[in-house]
Amino acid sequence: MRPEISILASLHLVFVLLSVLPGESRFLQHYHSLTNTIQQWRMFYSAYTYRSREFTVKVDNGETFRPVPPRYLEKDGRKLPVRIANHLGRLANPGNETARRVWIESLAGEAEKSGGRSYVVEDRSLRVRNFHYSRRDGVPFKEFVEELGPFSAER
Amino acid sequence: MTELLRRIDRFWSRGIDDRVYGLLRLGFSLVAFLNVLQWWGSSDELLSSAGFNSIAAAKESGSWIELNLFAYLRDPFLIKGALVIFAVVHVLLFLGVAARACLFLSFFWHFSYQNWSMLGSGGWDAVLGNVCFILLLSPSGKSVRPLDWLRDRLSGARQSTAEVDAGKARQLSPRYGIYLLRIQVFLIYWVAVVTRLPDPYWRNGDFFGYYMLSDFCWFGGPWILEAGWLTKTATWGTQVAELLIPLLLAFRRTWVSGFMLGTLLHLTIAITTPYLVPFSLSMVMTYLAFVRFGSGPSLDSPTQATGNLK
Repeated sequence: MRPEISILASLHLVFVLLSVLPGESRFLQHYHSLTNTIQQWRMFYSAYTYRSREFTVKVDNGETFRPVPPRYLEKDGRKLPVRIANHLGRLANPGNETARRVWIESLAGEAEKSGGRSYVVEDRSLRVRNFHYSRRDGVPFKEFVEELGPFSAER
Repeated sequence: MTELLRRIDRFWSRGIDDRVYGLLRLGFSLVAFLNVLQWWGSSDELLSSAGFNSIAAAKESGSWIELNLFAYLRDPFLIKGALVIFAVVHVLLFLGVAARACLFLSFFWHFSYQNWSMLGSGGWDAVLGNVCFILLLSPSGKSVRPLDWLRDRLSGARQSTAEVDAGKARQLSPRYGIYLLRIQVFLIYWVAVVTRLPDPYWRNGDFFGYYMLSDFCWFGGPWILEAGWLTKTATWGTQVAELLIPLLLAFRRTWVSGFMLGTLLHLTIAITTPYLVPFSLSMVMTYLAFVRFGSGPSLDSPTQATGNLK
């Protein structure tokens, strides 16, 4: 085996290990984007631990609202393919600054606050219905869900 | 310094059964093929000019946009055509036809869609892209070729299976690709476990209950409120399983147990959460990097592999 392969393999491993640490440099971000190395180890799996209260989206008319995880997503009465659902599910994922910016850009002017803890977003022909199931600190799970009504949150 | 470099070189270049690379290539091509099919329903919205992502948004969110296929291919119809080509590429890769060229095209596809539509990409896309990158720069596992196997069967080859296996077992390749992937499987699981530790819902065992009430689940419902024991067992059990899976996979005596435990975990995820079937398939595919063959050289054979990238 050529020795340069060993060096490259070692460097790759170092960059992968560095990606585990917080505060990635711009160089590492570019490296991971190019090599498809998993750059978001820290977020892996945790995408499902939504904390929608941590950020807000501001729309063109000046209103702000807090996006919440989609309970289900539909278009023309059909459930959406997984990737679209994923795409919209990221609304509630606060882990990626860029994702937030893109989302805000994508939704600006097209979002409509429906009041209370749920809202409807019209994005092109796509209708997204969101239902709140965010957690509230200090409230036991069962009481919280019963209060909210797990499947009665549709408004 | 020279001695250090020599040691590093020895670590990466020790021999490993070439069939491990071959199996990984087969598993990757199969899952990547299914993944291409899955993009069919979303490509207009997520990849083309008719969808969500404007070029400006992609430039802001992605990297290396000038190298990205979708910066140039904007028409929905042409993108569908590209998906057909990439599906064929993965079929050829499975068959072992022009494997290196197919891996390059596969890498181009994974790199392009992930950087173009980061929001539409899931964790499994990152796993697939990562495995593809490693395979692209590793020995191609040419000892595992379904076409050869088929040809042998059709022509009534005289060699017994044992003879063929013994012959192939002698082929060693440098282990750097397989070891890089193994280390990254450790990272995926262990970093995931550590990431969840500060989360109060993972700590108190309630996470699974919330999860079962989310859009991701098929079987969610108020019944989960009465099954506190299940919620806690599943939440903490997931943590324990993900700590154990890479450990069990790492050792020759326990890798089968690790394979089974991981498959059980991801099968459960796939059943409760149809959205995450591609994720489960992608993770189980990475276990192929840990496969040990009964006959043939030890996985960590001290024999220095002489194979180059072919």
